[in-house]
Amino acid sequence: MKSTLKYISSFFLLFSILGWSQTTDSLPKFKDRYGLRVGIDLHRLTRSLYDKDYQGIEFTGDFRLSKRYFAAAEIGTEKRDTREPQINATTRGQYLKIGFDYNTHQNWLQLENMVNVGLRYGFSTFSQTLNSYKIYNPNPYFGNGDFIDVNREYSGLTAHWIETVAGIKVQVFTNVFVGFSFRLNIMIQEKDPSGFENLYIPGYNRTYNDRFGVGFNYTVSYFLPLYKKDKGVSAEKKKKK
Amino acid sequence: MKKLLLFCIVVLSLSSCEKDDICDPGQSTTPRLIIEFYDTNNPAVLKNLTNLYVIGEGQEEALVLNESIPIDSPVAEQRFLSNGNRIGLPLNTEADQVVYNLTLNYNSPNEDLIFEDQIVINYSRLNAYVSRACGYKTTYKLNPPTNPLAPITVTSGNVWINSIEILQSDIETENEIHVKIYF
Repeated sequence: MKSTLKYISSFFLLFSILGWSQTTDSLPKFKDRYGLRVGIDLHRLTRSLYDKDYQGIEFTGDFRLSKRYFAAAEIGTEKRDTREPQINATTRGQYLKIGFDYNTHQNWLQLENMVNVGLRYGFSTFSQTLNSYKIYNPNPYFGNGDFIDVNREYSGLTAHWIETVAGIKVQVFTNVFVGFSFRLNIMIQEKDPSGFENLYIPGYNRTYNDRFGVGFNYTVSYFLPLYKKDKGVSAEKKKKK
Repeated sequence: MKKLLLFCIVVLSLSSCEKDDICDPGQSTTPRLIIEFYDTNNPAVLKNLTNLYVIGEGQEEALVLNESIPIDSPVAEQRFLSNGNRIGLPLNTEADQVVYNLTLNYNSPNEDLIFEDQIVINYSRLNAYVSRACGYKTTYKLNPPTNPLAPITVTSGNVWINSIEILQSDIETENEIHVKIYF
């Protein structure tokens, strides 16, 4: 609950950034650049270094479709140990998220920054290994048992979910962007191991009893310009030719 | 300024990785064997015990039967005595047998009124997943009567327990009576 509150407050901070993006009409002589942007999630990369229970990597990509719409995708792989007082499990798997971003930010002149909202469809295939567990006994008259080692692997697990995305991307050098995004995940369907439960889902993150999860990434990406279009309405007219 | 805000958000989101759930006490986990006591002469009527004292074979401390008395109370020894008509006996999550000594009129000044019977309970165990916070629980199944190791027998004493009746041999929750003891 605490962590949920923190995320909500983070969203408020984000919207205060949104508030700055007061618009002015840009000059027509600049053209919008279109192309492919590919990146890597530094959050997952650095966490793999400092968190011994986590290994993961995520690549991101987006392609500009129109003035404000971008097709967007993330692909990643994760291995995560879940260590609870009563249970110890390891989840391994891959995920793919596809969807779009909508840039709400009106850029000045040639700037290409983004304050975006978006949606993704997420899909993951993974396995979960129950390493060990403890018996919960409220009346441990004969002693509380130790962890029981099992090493049982449940494979062929899948999950589908929807992500709502809010984030920003700022161009820091020519064609190089840094950005972050927050994600609120809504589970559509997951295949649980029989007699057990998915404790972590790659891409979706930790599961809670309800159907919601949260996610975050911090990306560095490179923009590969492919072609240019006039800004604004004139660009739409040109396309019809 | 923008970078500072960005930094704050990153820090906030990283600091939110903490364990935040504990096993709910209301959750049904490893159950005890629930026993109700009845009157031998009037088998349909519950009969209250008088100062029943229960200790597991090989255990140093008796079983707490009356948790309503605080542990620092001047009459704390009353915690180990039951004067009701229902008790819950923990079974062993790591063995298929428990042995209990059940003493009636435990603190009676008249030694002739102190009766001690020993019962042996034989069962099989199954571990089942409960939840992330609670982990697993053990449920039990009392041995079938055909098993050479009988489900519940009085093995020594045999002074106050008249007969034992098994109502439910699957020990899965504490919300039902598993065994009736007539005395």
